[in-house]
Amino acid sequence: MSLAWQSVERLLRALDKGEFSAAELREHCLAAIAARGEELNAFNFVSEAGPAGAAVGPLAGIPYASKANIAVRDQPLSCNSDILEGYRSLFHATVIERLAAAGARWIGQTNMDEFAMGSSCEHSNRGSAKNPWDLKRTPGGSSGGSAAAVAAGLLPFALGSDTGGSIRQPAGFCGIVGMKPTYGRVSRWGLVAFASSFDQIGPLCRSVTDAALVYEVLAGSDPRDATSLREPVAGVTEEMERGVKGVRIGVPWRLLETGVQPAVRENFERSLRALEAEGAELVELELPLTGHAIAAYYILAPAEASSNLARYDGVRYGLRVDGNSVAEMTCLTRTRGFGDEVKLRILLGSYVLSSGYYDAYYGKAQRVRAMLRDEHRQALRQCDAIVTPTSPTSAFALGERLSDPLQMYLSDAFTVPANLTGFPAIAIPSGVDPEGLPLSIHLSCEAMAEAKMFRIARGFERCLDFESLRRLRFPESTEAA
Amino acid sequence: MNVYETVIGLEVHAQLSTKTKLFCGSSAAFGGEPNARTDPYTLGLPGTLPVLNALAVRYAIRLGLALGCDIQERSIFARKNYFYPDLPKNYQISQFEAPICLGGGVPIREDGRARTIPLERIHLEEDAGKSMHLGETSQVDLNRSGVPLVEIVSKPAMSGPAQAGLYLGSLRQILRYLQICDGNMEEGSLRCDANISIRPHRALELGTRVELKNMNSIRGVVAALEHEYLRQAALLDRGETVEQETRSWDPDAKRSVFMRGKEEAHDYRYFPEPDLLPLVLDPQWIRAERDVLPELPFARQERLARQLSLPDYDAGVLSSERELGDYFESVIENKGDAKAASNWIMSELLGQLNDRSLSITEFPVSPAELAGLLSLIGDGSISGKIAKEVFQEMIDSGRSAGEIVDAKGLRQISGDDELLGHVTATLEANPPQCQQYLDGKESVLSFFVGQIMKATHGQANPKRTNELLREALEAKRKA
Amino acid sequence: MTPEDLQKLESLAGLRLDQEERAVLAQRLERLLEYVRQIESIDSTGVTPIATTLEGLPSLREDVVEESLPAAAALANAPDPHDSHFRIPGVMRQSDGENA
Repeated sequence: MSLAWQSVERLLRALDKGEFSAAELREHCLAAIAARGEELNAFNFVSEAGPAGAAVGPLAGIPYASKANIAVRDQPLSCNSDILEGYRSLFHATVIERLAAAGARWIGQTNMDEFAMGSSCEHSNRGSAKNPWDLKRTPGGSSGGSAAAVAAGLLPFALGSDTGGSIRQPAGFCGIVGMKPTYGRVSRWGLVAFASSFDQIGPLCRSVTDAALVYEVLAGSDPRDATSLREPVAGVTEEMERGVKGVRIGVPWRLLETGVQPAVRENFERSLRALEAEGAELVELELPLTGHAIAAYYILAPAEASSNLARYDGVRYGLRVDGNSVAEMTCLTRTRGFGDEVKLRILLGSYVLSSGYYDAYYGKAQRVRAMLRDEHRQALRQCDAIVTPTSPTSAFALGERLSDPLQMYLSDAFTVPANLTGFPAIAIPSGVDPEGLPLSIHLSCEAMAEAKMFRIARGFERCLDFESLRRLRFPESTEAA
Repeated sequence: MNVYETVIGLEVHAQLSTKTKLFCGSSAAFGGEPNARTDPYTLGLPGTLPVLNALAVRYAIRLGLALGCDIQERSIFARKNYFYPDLPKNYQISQFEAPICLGGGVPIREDGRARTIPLERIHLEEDAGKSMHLGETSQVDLNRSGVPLVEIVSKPAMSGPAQAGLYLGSLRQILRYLQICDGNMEEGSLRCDANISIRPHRALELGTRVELKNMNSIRGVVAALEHEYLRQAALLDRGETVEQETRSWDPDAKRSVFMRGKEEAHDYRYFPEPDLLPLVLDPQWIRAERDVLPELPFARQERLARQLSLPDYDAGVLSSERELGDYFESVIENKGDAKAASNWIMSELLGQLNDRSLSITEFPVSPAELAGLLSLIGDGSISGKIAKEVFQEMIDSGRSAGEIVDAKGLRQISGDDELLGHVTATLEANPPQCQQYLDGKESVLSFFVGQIMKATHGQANPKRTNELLREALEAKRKA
Repeated sequence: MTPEDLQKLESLAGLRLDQEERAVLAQRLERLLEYVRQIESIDSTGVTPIATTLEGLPSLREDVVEESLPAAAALANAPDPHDSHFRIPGVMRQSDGENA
């Protein structure tokens, strides 16, 4: 069995005991990637030339890959967009430096929706990654490559980014754990900006404990990011096994009434009952504004994106299409270099900020955001976590939602609120649907409550026993007795 | 040509003299090898973020306090979005709805009367890079991109080009007094755009506003405004209308040319900068800046004139630069003669600074040393003429006046014994001139003085020499 | 959102679409705008808009010079570096920009 299937937790113990070396482990991962690379299309490239990991540290010897919008010095930073063709970063993202200092070993870069705009990885300039559970299905997006790589046991963890659900939704579709920290908890220095007040980097792993271990390394204040939180990072692993007795689980049932696949609903209710059996209490929540979350998000995020992506103009780096004037060059470069979804969002964003429309759209959406945050804050006084399915459906088929962007956007209904509020959230696998596709549960807690969130997530994980479903689907992930 | 009422507003951009840029740690110094003062943020590389320079904020507070503005405890940065190659992000981080200062005013002296030109606001923003011609193409240097600017916007409250010139001069002087900007329009650390409209006398509505750009000196601003007045007046005289437009000043041709019209105006799509939190000022900072606020130019000028009984003109020259005023006040610290010091500084010292291309801060003679020189003149130890030579020597050698005078034996000869010796010798050596004097030609006295000066290398006390010569010659008459 | 409206928006967005693209995007945009307009129905009187979910004081930096990149590094990714500058097509007058 490939070492690449083992959890970070187990690998750390094994490396410590000398069962194998870090170099051997890396070889296993590279071999796994080579074997399934083309089929899964999860990777843009692998590389020996990444930052050297420290010899000792909380993640010493653990190989990982990062999404193509996270800067690694001297490596291509394409965001899977033609407009960044040839561009190599001049610096490391802070998270890359932190992981190196912790001993983790970067081995390559994963596929994504262009500039993180998408929920299926189909808007990539090299085509979509595939869902390891069913190669005709999307792995989700925008961190589709990272999710597919981890779900297929190619490596123990990968980094993704989450602006509207781009870590959690693919985690859900691929049967793995994906977590978005409190906004500001992880530095954005080196993360190519999509929507600045929403973006966060987070881990994709096969277990809650692994996600916690990686989170602890990523989190922390950074003087290079003025939006980074200065409060010290509380450890999250100590309390994780405490169980869920007395934990209050808030469920906004009304939000589940439309658009949710019956299998998703059924699995969701079953998961809640399993948790109740462990001592958790269910609380009914009313979150009337949350139904408008997608609308508010698709005003605010494209607006910020339209500005963040203005820098791609062919003057200083990346693609350049020649023109008679710099204005012409800029327009031709951007029109050729950006894909359709990116163009759509830039136009939408420019519109909602433009003179005459700002107040009705952008200004209004900012107020709705404030109200939504209050709504969730209030709710989280009545319960410890807001719980919903991660997505209204299981992984959809490749090509299914490309003709109607709005349909694609609606799959973010349960993940987007946590980006609007800035609160931490996590997706954990909870079962499979009749077609054998993974289903997932989503939890969100109040700001800075990662420790509580990991604890509740661990409680879910224990009583849902998804591992046995994973082993059925991927027998190669089973260790020798 | 009819006479019209003019309404002028000025927008001044001043580069703050911080060491680093507004949102990153690259040096903000002027010039340098192209694109060698950049970093990932300045280049607008993907994944970079701005972090605000605390000193730039303090400088903005200092300026706001000096100009009597309402310092906003909470102000917000905003993105001003437009495509242009000198903007590496194709947006500029500026302030829009909530600037750091509101109101306030710039004092001017017009025809001897003091008045204040009111301000709209002051805000912080980052500078752009520089783009320039290169034959059929252009090229961009991003060294200047990101340098901190304060933008000072006046109300449209100036009534003529001359007044606008005074405003700009006063503002520049204050910026330099506060030591937050070197105010160099030629180098671009101070830039000015002007808005001007005219209307018939007593008309209620304002005329159409024209924006003028690219004036590189205060004189240029005044000339451009004068020219624009004439252009607009000629249009209105002919019954035509003034179009709202932006025009660029050509200092060589001394006229403005059309740059862009109203329709080409940008939609900047301002929105609050999400990478920066709202700036909430620590009241401690405002107090600290208030504590170090210097006496401002007009106040200083008034005080010097009043306290030291100096003419307004002198007081004006001495207070024109803060460092010069500081220098002067140090010189007269210990009960020095203010008028003598003022005269010396205005003529000799400023002359030396000019000849040697030095600023007062680079001047090697300390105020105490100059005071020493002035007291030697004052107590008659040396003549004014000798003092000028001594002054040169002080600058070149760094020695004190006393040392130089003693070493070179330059003390004025004022003792009667010694002087009498010279008087006697001169009269004996020049009998025809003695006779001329005795015959009534008094002016020949200066010949004798001249001879004695030659003999004593200029060290004879001219006044006493004169007196002794007269006495001796009169004695001869009686004899 | 007509294709004409979209054309005006293109210059703000730095894009130049062809007729076909424009027709498709105009339609998609209209559909999205219709969807997001639902927030009009929310009563937000008296609510202060937020630009970020963070609350608290901003971090500032001290005015200490950090080493800059050498010009060669700054130009390493440039499509047309020339004489230590970023070269671009067309003739521009400095005064055409906002910051002379």
